[in-house]
Amino acid sequence: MNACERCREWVHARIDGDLAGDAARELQAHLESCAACRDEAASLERLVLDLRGAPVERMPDDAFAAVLARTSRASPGRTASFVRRRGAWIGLAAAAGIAAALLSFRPGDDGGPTPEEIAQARRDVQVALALTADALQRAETVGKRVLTEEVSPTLQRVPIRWRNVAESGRRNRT
Amino acid sequence: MIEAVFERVAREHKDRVFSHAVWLLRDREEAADVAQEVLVRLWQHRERVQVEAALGWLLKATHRLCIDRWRRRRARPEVPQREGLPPPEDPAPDPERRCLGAAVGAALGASLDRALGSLDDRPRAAILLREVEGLPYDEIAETLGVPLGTLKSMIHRSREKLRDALIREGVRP
Repeated sequence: MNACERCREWVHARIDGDLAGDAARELQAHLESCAACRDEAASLERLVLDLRGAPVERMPDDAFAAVLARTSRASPGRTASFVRRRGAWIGLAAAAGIAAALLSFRPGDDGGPTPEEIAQARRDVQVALALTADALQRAETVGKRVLTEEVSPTLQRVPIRWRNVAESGRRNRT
Repeated sequence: MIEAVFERVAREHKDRVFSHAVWLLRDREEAADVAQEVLVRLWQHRERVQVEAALGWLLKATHRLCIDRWRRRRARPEVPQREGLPPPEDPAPDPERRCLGAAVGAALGASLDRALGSLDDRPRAAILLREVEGLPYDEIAETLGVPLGTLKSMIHRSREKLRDALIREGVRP
């Protein structure tokens, strides 16, 4: 493989962010001395920039509305049951979310928020609550896994006679 | 992922999903169908999908559904392509209907469209997932079901083909 062929592979690696050290320095030195490879590298890097800058097309509103209609029909009471199951946690999260919303409130020059500001604040609080609930749900899942896979095996390694001592000590105290 | 979070995630990513489907299928109507289906599937799998991993999950699901569409098209070659992106050989491209036209200039956008359309389905999907959507190589390899080394070669060759096509059309020096 000659220097230009090796350079071609390295250009792709550089575009991918995978080139460092001696190879990066050798590539740079080659590009400075070889106009053909320099042009080829520049055109490839420009192409990738063009692709990475491609605009995102907007999904038609009616198509997204259909998604929301299908998913809301499929979830009667889903959120409510979730909230009831975790009442205490959600109550805490609700208090925190609303408190945060109130603390961030600043009356305007006319002394009060506009209806749009109130609506936006409500949406923000709802999303904050939903995110908190989601985080708690995930924390519960992770907690169970850690207890099962890590805490229990660790405790199992404690010699049985010590566990018996601890158990009898607890009975004596009670 | 609960309902309000699902809606937020869906709103955040719906256009990326739709765009990716348009790129792969080159048909907006079909792409809208696919995007709907993918987002409904996210809802159905919401308990298993982490919020931060949702975009990757959505793009992979989009890819799988587009593969199904490609297979159906091949099985029914007599079905004409519906309104959407013109085929690569279209002699009079309409920049308004192009994905890239608005952002990178109509001439370059149209040429890129034609060049992408000339790639086979899998290399086109690979380079779109990598360069447009920014997915890491290992995720793309898993999605497309190809070894990592094969995928890298495929993407590198696709870059060179696209670059050569743009030079041939005179939109890049």
